[in-house]
Amino acid sequence: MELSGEIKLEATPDEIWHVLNDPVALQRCIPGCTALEKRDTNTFLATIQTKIGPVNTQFSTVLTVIPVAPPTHYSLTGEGQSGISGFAKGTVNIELKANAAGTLLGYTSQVLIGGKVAQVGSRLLTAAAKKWVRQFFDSLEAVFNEN
Amino acid sequence: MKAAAFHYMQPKTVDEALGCLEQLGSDATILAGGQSLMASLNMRLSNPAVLIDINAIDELNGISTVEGRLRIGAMTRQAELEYSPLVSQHAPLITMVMPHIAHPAIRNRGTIGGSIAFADPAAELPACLVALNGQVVAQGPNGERRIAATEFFQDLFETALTDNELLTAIEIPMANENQRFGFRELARRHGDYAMVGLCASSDWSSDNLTELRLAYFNVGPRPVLAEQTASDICRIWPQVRNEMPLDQLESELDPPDDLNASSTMRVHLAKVLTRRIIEEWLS
Repeated sequence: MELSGEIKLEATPDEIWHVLNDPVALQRCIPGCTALEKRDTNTFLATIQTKIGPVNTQFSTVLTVIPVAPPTHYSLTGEGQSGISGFAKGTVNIELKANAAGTLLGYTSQVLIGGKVAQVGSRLLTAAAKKWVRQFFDSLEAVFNEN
Repeated sequence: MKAAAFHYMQPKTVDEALGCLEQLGSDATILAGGQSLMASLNMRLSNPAVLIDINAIDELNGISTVEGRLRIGAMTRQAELEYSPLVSQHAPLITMVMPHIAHPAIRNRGTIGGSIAFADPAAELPACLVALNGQVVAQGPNGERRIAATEFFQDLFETALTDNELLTAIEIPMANENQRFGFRELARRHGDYAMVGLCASSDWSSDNLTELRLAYFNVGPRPVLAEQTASDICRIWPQVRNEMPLDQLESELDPPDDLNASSTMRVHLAKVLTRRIIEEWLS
């Protein structure tokens, strides 16, 4: 499935770029991320806990950050495995545009979920993915509002 | 498949159940009728450490009237609501909705409290409670509180209940003779989750339609009350038959795509259902 949207942030593209590459800030933004460690320059290992209604799943995820064109184009790819429950793969492309009030962040994402979770919960997948993406950007917004 | 091992508790009173919740917090899951929970346990999609079975708590059963409100105990079975004269008299919308919830065998075990607390976005009862402007009664360590249905359903399977609270009852303002109710849903097969559904209530006296509440389900992460559309319809009532003002639904509803129907199709179907209910009232 594909999800896209736009949010306004009161920060410069450089500041946002910095947060998106900072493991501590990234962990705060990823919903349910209980651990995140840097493996090398562009990859992180993350443990992500998701709870959608009765379904409680823990994914071990490899996150790859691709700096397409710093500091305005950024791509984040994740591939997670959760034993018998299934797998999730996703890519988020982020474009940062500076404007008078700060930065307009536009995103498009493709999410693919398979295995038992998808089989049983197919009717809820889009709603769940939307919620997850919304939480990610809400947290990102909160990071800047605090500063 | 069979469920993974879990601990089991069976409190006999609400106070005992609250004690269990206080002690266990988010490690525990409440077992009501089990019509959603048991399936997900057996599929091993959820693996709570402890199940607190509230089926033995007698005080959670029963339907009564209290000061202008119909009070339904959380553990009242859906089948009991379906045939209750008190419910059909004071909350006829619930009686209309009941036959559409899954199948009789499921309604024999499934409870109203379970369905409300689970907050499945495709379920009928949460939307029904929103349309009726009902309240959820919850008990916690600090006593009882009432939560309006519109505040209770927060997000996908997320409610205003906290980990140490138990949903004990549902309360609905008693219907009067001026009120009109309507229920429609579209499902591929009877008993399936609907692609779109609508629970509606209104007050129709002396040519004016007021208090119109249109609560749609399976069009977003929680029941959606289309307030703008409702006020558009009330404004031109009763001249709505030829030109029903339903365009606002396109901005008020943002349903997801799934295997059964695309987002656009769902919005279209929501308009169709609205039109059918209004025409039914006018005829």
